[in-house]
Amino acid sequence: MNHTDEDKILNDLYQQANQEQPPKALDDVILQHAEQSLSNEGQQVSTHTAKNWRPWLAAASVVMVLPLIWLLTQNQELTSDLGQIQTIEPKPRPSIGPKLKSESVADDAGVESDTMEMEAFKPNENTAVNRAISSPPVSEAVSANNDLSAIIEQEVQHSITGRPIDHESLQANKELLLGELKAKKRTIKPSTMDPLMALEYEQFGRYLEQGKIEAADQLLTEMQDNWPEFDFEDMIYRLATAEINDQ
Amino acid sequence: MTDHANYELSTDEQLMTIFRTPGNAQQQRAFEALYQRHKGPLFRFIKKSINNEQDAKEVFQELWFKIINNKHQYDHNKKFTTWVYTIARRLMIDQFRKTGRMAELTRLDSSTETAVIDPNIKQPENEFEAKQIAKELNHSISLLPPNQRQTFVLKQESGLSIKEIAQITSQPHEQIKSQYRYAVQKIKMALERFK
Repeated sequence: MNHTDEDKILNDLYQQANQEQPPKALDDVILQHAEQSLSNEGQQVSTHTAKNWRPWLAAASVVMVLPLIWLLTQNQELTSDLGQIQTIEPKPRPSIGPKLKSESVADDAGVESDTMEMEAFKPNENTAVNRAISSPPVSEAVSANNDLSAIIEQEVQHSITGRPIDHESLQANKELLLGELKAKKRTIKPSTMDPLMALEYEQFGRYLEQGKIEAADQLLTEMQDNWPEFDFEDMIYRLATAEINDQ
Repeated sequence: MTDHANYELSTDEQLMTIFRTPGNAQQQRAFEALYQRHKGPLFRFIKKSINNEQDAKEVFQELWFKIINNKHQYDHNKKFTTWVYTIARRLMIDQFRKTGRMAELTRLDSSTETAVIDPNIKQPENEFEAKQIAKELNHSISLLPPNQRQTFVLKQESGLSIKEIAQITSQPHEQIKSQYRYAVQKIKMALERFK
């Protein structure tokens, strides 16, 4: 009997002698743990899916906030406009200089004094009394106007959050946003061009076909001046290609 | 063909791939198939290596919990049995440390240096003899030095090659080969009286 046969016999003997299995209770515990683990994993997968939305939500928030920022950059203009509206009433604009302010006050005072004179002939006492109450004396009006302009100036210097406005930064942001808006030029398509532009566009094509590069270049420059809202990149590319071919 | 039949035909690695794929409705079934296939050999390997039933149960449970919890760490390009028996062996070493039996595990097999006669063995002639042989066989296994016992049982239960066992136990191939050879010789000697 050789070793291989003996090893096989030993293996068989071992397998026959060893059929023991783990207790049923252990089986149950382990299988239950596996089930629980898979169930937890399923929940984690759904949480993970929710997590996948986070970047999109963040992007959406940015998209929604950008117009608000743009509106805030307009705050200065809005406040100035408000100042103008308030000036229609007997209130001076905050940007008006001291000389103009005094003239304005003098004018107002003149109007007031005229009104007083006119009202002196009116028989209705109540109206006169009301006017006397509603129209403060000239010195008080000047003081009130000064206070108001100071308040407006103060308001202009602060944002709605109460923090001081950095006007340079605001201006830079405004220019940046305007630049971005300007950068989004319209694509040249038959549907977007007006008839004159369409004619010039066709002419441009003809010039290129005829090898009239200079004429095409001139026409393109004119078109860029006349319709700045359009994106002429494609035409520039065509012109450059024609130039290379011509050379 | 039923799912059950499908699982019987699937390899360990295929079942493990199903089990570790999130959202696969068959995950639990694949695990059950794997468990049914390997629970006996693993339990016997652990029990015979540790030689203590209570400790063996703890290690066995911990082993399967680790397989479940660390299923994503399994490299599907490697054999499942290599992975799982490596974990089992590490857990047993931990158990030896916990129970203060580390010296027993690391003890050198003094008998390995002794030349052993290689007796012949034969198949049992009847059921009574088979039971007697089985009893003697298991007793002789329990008397083997830990390393020889572990190598012999691992070879018998896992069906792994000597080379794979060397990988699992992080021991030189030749050393494992010697351990196995000496274990077999000792068992044969114990069974000599049944010739």
